[in-house]
Amino acid sequence: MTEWFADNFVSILNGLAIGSLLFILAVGLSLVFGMMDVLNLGHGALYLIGAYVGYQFTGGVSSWGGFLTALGVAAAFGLVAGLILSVATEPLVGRGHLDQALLTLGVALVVAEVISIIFGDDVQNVVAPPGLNESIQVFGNTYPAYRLALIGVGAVLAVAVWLVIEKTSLGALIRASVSDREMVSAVGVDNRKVKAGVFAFGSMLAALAGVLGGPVYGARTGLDETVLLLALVVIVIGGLGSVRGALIGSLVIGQVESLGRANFPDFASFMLFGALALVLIVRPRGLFGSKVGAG
Amino acid sequence: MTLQISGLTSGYGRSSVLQGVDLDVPDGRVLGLLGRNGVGKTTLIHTVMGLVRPTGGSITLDGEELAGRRSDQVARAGLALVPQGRRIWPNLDVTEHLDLASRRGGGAGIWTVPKILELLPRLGERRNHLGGQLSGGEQQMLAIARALLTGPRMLLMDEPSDGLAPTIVDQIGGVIGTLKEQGVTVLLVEQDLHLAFLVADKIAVMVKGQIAHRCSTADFRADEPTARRLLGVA
Ligand SMILES: Nc1ncnc2c1ncn2[C@@H]1O[C@H](COP(=O)(O)OP(=O)(O)OP(=O)(O)O)[C@@H](O)[C@H]1O
Ligand SMILES: [Mg+2]
Repeated sequence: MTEWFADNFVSILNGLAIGSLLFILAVGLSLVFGMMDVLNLGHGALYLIGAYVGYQFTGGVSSWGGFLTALGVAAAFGLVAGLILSVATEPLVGRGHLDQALLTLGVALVVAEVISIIFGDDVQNVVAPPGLNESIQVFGNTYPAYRLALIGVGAVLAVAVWLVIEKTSLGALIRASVSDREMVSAVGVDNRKVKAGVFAFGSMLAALAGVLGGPVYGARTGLDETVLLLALVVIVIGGLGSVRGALIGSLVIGQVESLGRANFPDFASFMLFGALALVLIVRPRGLFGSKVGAG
Repeated sequence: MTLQISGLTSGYGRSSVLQGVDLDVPDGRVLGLLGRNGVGKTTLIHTVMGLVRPTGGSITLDGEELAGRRSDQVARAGLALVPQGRRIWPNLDVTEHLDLASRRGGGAGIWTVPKILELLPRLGERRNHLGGQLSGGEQQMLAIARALLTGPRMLLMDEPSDGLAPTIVDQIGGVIGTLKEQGVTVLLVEQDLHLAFLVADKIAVMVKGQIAHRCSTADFRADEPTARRLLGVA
């Protein structure tokens, strides 16, 4: 057991880093889906925008100024895009997931195309800022410092989001909206405003994830679809509208991806969907799901 | 606070449920709305509250038109809902329910959290329990508290006695009595005739999406054949 652990130590760390990134990406998607029953397939495109913002502002050099600017620009971009998506999907609330999927997927395809026109289809690197742009020794293994930092950022964000959702009145409003939004509006709260706020926040996190993931995965076309798929698997496993579910789902998928690729490279993607199928068979509403999306 | 409903029609998709409802609830009175299962009582309450879109007709509260408004607007106009099945948020504790409901300070502002806890002391004892951990009776009290804290001028109550033990039903009757003394107007949907007779000034009976009968509570109690014909009970 300890030997297996030692052999796979780097993979486990990689899995944690992937999990951190996935959590940042998936938590907003999960809340919007769980709360407003709006399926936003544009979420991956927001990640992609973040990745290219990272590339644009770091410009292949390692600099804190560039990296932090990229984070700020991506955050602003994500907030605004989230508000726009929230307004655009408003007429589709309650009209079934297919309409929402078509609209948001359409937006995502346009965004991906525009990005590929501007930046071309080559893989672009996003360089980690100074100090994180090197490898360090962790229990005798050489490991990229940036990925450790990513794990740390993910952990801090997870705790912060959890505190907001579980301990504040804003969080209570969000939890109530996830479980029964009609009753929230019946006490005088405009559902659309809550949705817009969560949409903007979740989209901001997705764009930030794009920058944060840049030094690991770079910026390239097709990344939006990959991360969207992973995020969807995470929220299906974790359960809609649950922060804890998004966290556990992200950590599980991070490990499945990483350990799977390291140990059974030929079956990695099978394992991803195997884990998904397993959870759905045992817990059709996900590990922490309180309800399934209607319609 | 007078609620006037006229010619109201609504339904779900292609199936129409309300077939032209005419009803008014006079200021400060309790109107008991009776009717068999599935005649459209909840649909009426939900349409008034803005949770189901009307397809025609009008709903006015002291002359202000509410038909077609969103439910948060209806709530701000002074209506509050105690829904069928209570619909407490299972993952919010009692305090969070009370806070969320009094977020906007309340329209009339007579009801504050301390006052609510005086009226419904059980909620104070269960302050830190999640909605999903409460008993049915406690959930009903919480649903009433949640509605009152929005500062309503009128309360829509949908079968508050449903599934509760007789002693708890009596408690709820007591609470409605207290509200009535304070001049709160109530539209009370009930299957429990005992509770309806206890608190209602007037009775209306719904049959197939329309109001089929309307009279004072005393007259209704005296006219057993009509009650049996409309409700199949009593
Ligand atoms: N969300 C809905 N979608 C479609 N049809 C519905 C919906 N809710 C109710 N109905 C239908 O509308 C009709 C009226 O239902 P409603 O719930 O208003 O009756 P009710 O008088 O409140 O009954 P109960 O006493 O059982 O609560 C019923 O035929 C019901 O099946
Ligand atoms: Mg009903």
